[in-house]
Order: sequence, then structure tokens, then C-alpha cells
Amino acid sequence: MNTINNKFSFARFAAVLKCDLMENWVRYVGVFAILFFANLAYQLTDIKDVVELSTLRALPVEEYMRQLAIDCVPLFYGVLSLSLMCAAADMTTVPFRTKGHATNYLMMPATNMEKFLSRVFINVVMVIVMAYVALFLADLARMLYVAISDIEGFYGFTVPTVWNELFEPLREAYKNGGVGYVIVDNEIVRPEWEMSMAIMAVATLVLSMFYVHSIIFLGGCIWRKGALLKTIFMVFMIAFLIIWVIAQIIPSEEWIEIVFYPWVESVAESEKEFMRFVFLITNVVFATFTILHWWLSYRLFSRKQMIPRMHLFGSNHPHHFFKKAHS
Amino acid sequence: MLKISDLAFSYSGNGCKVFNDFSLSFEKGSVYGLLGLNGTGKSTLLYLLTGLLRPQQGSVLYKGEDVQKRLPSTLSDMFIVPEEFELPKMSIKRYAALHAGFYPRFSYEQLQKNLAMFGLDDSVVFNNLSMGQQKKAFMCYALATNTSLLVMDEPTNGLDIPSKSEFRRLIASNMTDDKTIIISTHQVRDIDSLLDHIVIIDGSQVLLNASSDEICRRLLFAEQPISEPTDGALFVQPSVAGNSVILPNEFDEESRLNLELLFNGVLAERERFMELFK
Repeated sequence: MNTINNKFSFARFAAVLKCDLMENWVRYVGVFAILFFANLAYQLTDIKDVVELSTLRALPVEEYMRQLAIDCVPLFYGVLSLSLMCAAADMTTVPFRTKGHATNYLMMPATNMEKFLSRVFINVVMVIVMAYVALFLADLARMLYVAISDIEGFYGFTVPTVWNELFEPLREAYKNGGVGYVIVDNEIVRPEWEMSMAIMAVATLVLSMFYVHSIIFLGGCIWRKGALLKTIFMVFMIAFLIIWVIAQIIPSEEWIEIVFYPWVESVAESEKEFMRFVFLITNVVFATFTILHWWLSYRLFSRKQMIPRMHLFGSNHPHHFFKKAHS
Repeated sequence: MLKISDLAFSYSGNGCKVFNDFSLSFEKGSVYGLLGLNGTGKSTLLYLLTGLLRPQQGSVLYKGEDVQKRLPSTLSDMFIVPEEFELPKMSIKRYAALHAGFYPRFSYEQLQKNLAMFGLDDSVVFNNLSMGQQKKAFMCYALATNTSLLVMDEPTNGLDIPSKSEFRRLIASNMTDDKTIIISTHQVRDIDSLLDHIVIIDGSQVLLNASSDEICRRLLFAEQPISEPTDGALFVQPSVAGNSVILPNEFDEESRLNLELLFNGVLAERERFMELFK
């Protein structure tokens, strides 16, 4: 046997990454173009609404944009997340899209971990960078469009605007001693929003995105074609099953009207500590499941074969999977 | 060098087992010819022994390491040229520059030499070549990696007539004592002069596993006129000149191995041949 190191090697990881980028650059540029045009379409559609609504409400466009950034944060992140997920799902399956590609990739002399991390790098780091660069270029294109088409529009970049609007209350709260009420322009804008709750909420948002991404990545490790659609379908099926089981245990009217709303209201109104605990638990659950999904993804990835064969459970037998998982 | 033990394998959705309790070993320094009927598992066996498929039971050990682990030390010492393959849109030179680092014994000189044998040069882009030319280029690259194990599935499929003889020359010029080449093919006439060892399989059964020398020592391949009696022949196959026969080589006579005849004979008279080569 030759003297090749079988442990993790950064040089080999870089070489795998380089091969992947060089061999699939057309596809990655294609994904980038889709991200760019999706963002641009979103922004150009948005310009009309901003101008129209700000005129109706007699607000300056910049002021209206600030307000919109707060109101549209969930929508903005929804669009961005969906674009990212599509890109991520597409990129996970790139080396396994055909029998020939899978053969080349599996036979590449590198450890499973090196190959897996190169996929993770492309799937997480590169996708995020691509998304933000696409958004940045879409911003530039939008500003150019606004300038040459002589319409009133917003001159500024989306990410810093949204970032500022999201964290402005936090900065103000810091100025006011770090805890308690959040004051913006001498007005109490979110009297119930304490610092710790705000941080928890942001953490939940970030963790939930990583959680969703991990599901998409896991789906990409299971299915070679149509991974995104199949994963979404499977998630809906599982969610439906869980809701159905809960509905069988607790009657629906009790569950929604008697149990859920009064419980949330009472907890939110009176027991902030408990609410923080609920946030913490949510975050722990998100983080745990995200790690579990990554672990399962690695298991599936390292057991991939040249043709699609489901090997979630080791050598086709459940006991092998659990035996190896515990060893 | 390569040891397959008690292998069991079946494809998902297809209940019938391709291999069951299958064992075989390959030694270094030989060119193996892996023969069998369609659907008997030749390609599957190649994928199993390179770790591209995972068996349900049993193991495939390459120099003592389980190929399922896909260790860099194992993968950098073996190469497979599948029947169907896909290469990126880049020149052979660029491809070699990207991948050569993974193979410690890769030789650019050898790659150039191999390509020259087929009249190719390394500046040409894979996708600008025909399928046959792509195959030639890929085989040249595979041989230049200088891995101890080279596995080829139907390497002469799609090659033109002159290229088939070039292919034989290429293999012969790249073969060394520390290498093993396993060739699975139906085109036995293209490679019969190249093979040191013949393995004929039929699913889980190894019908024949013997070196070409041993086969020629034990068997006599002859062409007989139709009038000549064929009593005592192990296998008789009508031919243009009369009969092609396989006889027991009782008097250590020399004859040229007729691989096609042997293959047909082994399949028709499997028990007799298996007994003879026990």
C-alpha cells in the first residue's frame, strides 16, 4: 500500500473543492444568474409598490422604505431563503446527478469527510456568498434602472437597510441600559421587547434558517433528481402526520381555542421568564435537529453508491446502521 | 491483492440476487479477462470491487483494506474505466492537472506517450471528441495514473478497428509486474492475446478461474475437418472449415487459446470444465 494519509487533509479538501468548482462552474454560474434575476425581479416589482404606496401615504420614499424594511422583513427573508434553498438543493446533488458523474466523484481519492465538507462549503458558504453578491448586483441594477428611467426610487442597498432596521431597536436598547424598553426617536416602539427576547428571536430566525437548510441538504443527500420538491413534499407529509396524530389525541376545538391561545396569551403576558425558556427550548430543538440532519446527511453521503440506492441503514440492514452509529 | 469473500448482492426492487456467497481473488502482475453472459454480473462485480456498490454481505479487500471504506490510500491505487462515463468540458491537459495530484505515481510523460499512440494530444477538449476518442483519451489517462489496479468495463466497445490493436499495444506497453488489470468484455477476440488469466462467471458461480498458460497446458484447441471424428472432445462447435474442438491436452501439445470457443465450451459443459480445473 502506498503512503497516502487517510486522515483529513486540508490540501486534499482544497483539491476536491477546486476540481468541483472547475468542473461544474457553468452550473454554478447558472445558479448565480437565477439568484440574481430572482432578486432583481423582486426588487423591480417592489419599486412600483414603494413609489405608489409612499405617494398615497405622502411619505418620502426613503422613509417609506425604512418602514417597508421593517414590515417586509419576513417576506424579504422568505424570498431570500427560498432562493437559497433552491440553490442549495441543486448544488447538493451536482456530483451525483448521473451515473458517470457519481462514478468519477466516488472514485476521487479523498476521504468521505473531505468530499462532504467540500459539498458543505459549496452548499453553505458559497450559496450564501452567491446570494448576497446577487442581491448586491440586483441593488446596483435597481439603482441604475431608477436613475435612467427617471422615476422616484430608493437609492441604497437592501442588506444594510434591512440590517439597520432590524437592529436599530437593539442599538437603542443598549443606549438605554441594555434591558427594558426599546426607544426609537423618543418613542416606545416595542414596549414588550426586551433585549434577551430580541436576541432569542434573532437566534431563532437564524437557527430556523439553518434548520430548514439542513433539511434541504439532507433531501439532496437522499434524492438525486427533484430533491427540493421531494423534500418539501416529504416535510409536508411528516408535518401533516404529526398534526393528525396530535389532533387524534386532543380534540381540535380544545387544542386551538381552549389550550393554545389562552396558553400563549397567559405565558406572554405574565411569565416572561417562561417565554424566554420557550425560546431557548425552541432554539435547542432547532439546533439539535440541525445537527441530527447534518449527521444523517454525512451518513448518507459517505454511503452513497454510483446508482441511487437507499442506504440510510448501513449495509441494507438496520442493525448495521445502529451498530456502526454506536461504535 | 484483491480478495472477494462470501459476497452477496442484489439490486433494490429486484429480489433476485446477482451474487450469493461469491468468492474470488485476483493476484498482481496479471491481465485478467472477466467473461460471462449478459446479466451475469460482470459490471456489477467491477463496481463492487472498486467500492462503487456496497454488498449486502461479504467483503472486498484490496491489499487488506475494505474497499467500502473508500480510503484515499485505496482509491489512489485503483482506477476504473466504466463502459459509460462522463468527462467535464475541459482539455485533457487541464483535467490531468486537476486530478493528477490524487495519484502519487501519475506520469505526464506516460500520458503524452499514450495519447500519441492513438494520435491524440492533450490540448484537445474532451467534449469535442467522439465517444470512441473520449474513451481512448480516458484510457490513456487511466494508464498514466499508474495505479496498481486498473479495471476496465468493455474497453474496446466503440473503438475502430485500428484502435483495437493500438489498445492491445497500449496495455502491453503500460503493464508491469506490480499492476493488475481486470478487463470485462464480450469482445473476446479484441483482447484474447492480452490476457494472462481467464475468469468466467455465471452469477454466483465461478465457472473457470485459470491462467492462460494453465488452460493451454490442459486443453488443446483445434480445427478439424468435418470428416474427422470428435470422440473424446470436451466440446465441439461447428465452424466454416469443419469443427472447432476442445480436447484434453494429453500429450502437452501447443495450441493457441481460442477464447470464444473456450467460453462457449465452459457454458455448455460447465460441470466437465469445472471438474477439470478444480
